[in-house]
Amino acid sequence: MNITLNGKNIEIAQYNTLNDFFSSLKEEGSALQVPKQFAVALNGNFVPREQYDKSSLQEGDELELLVPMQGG
Amino acid sequence: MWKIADREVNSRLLIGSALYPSPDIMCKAIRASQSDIVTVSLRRQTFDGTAGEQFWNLLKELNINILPNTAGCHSAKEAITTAQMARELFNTNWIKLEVIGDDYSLQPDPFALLEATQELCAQGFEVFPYCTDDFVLCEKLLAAGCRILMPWGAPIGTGKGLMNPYALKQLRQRLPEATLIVDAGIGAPSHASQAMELGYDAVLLNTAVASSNKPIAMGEAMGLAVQAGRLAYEAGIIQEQETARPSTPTLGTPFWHQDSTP
Repeated sequence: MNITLNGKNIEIAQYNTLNDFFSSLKEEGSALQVPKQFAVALNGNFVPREQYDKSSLQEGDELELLVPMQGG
Repeated sequence: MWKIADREVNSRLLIGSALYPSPDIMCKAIRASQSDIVTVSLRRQTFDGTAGEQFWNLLKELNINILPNTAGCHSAKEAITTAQMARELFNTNWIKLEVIGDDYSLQPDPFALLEATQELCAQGFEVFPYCTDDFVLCEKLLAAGCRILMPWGAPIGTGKGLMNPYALKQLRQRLPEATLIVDAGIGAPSHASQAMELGYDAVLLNTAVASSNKPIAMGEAMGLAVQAGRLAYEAGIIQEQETARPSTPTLGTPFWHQDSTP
């Protein structure tokens, strides 16, 4: 299926949960390197860490994976 | 020491972490400023980098209070989601709430800012709203649950200093209980001092230090300027006078001056 990850359209396999998807990103050659510290929004809504096991991805979902960055 | 929200800190300077020539200079400039609070942001993890992780490690090294921002948000919904993500990522309920209403001046959108503030305060955030110096807006932000207000000195990154000292002075006088921080527009140490002389509790700046030719030296200068301004405010600045008054005592003036007296 296709999703948008950080503004980029990517094709991914079917995963049962967000946790499964993030685990796949840790594999070599993945679309994006999953950092140690990150926070997630799915379709514009924040997904708390404890919900990763209860949330799944659907076709056309927009996933944002944000990391710490410099700011003013 | 002074208290900001529920934490005690030494410095009255809050400093940004962006725009420095290098991560090393950023760390040295922040340390030189003696600031206890650094602002940070959240951005997308890039597809080819580990910048987020490197920055995270630098923050751990600095070991000071972190104030995440919602920079770049243009709606209450975006700002609320970003704040929720920041709370989890940085493990703090502090949020510098920015909701931009005009891309030209980077002026905050007062309506969306108030809407986001109401929601985030209800969710237990300590909201540091980046706002204008509009008294009515500031009053409504306090009513929504803010203890801290951060009116702009001038548009972000302009370095113009305090564009409307009258309005800032009025805010200080009319909102004596609020923690007031001038945020944005500071260019020179004298601007930071001026804000502190008005009785502001602190100053937040970034570009003035990071884009200076010598950010480490400028960081130190800003820290000292904030200290000087606060000391002057506490000491009490004299009232301006329209006419000259001799500072040297006139009693005992030597005889040769007496001839010239009409």
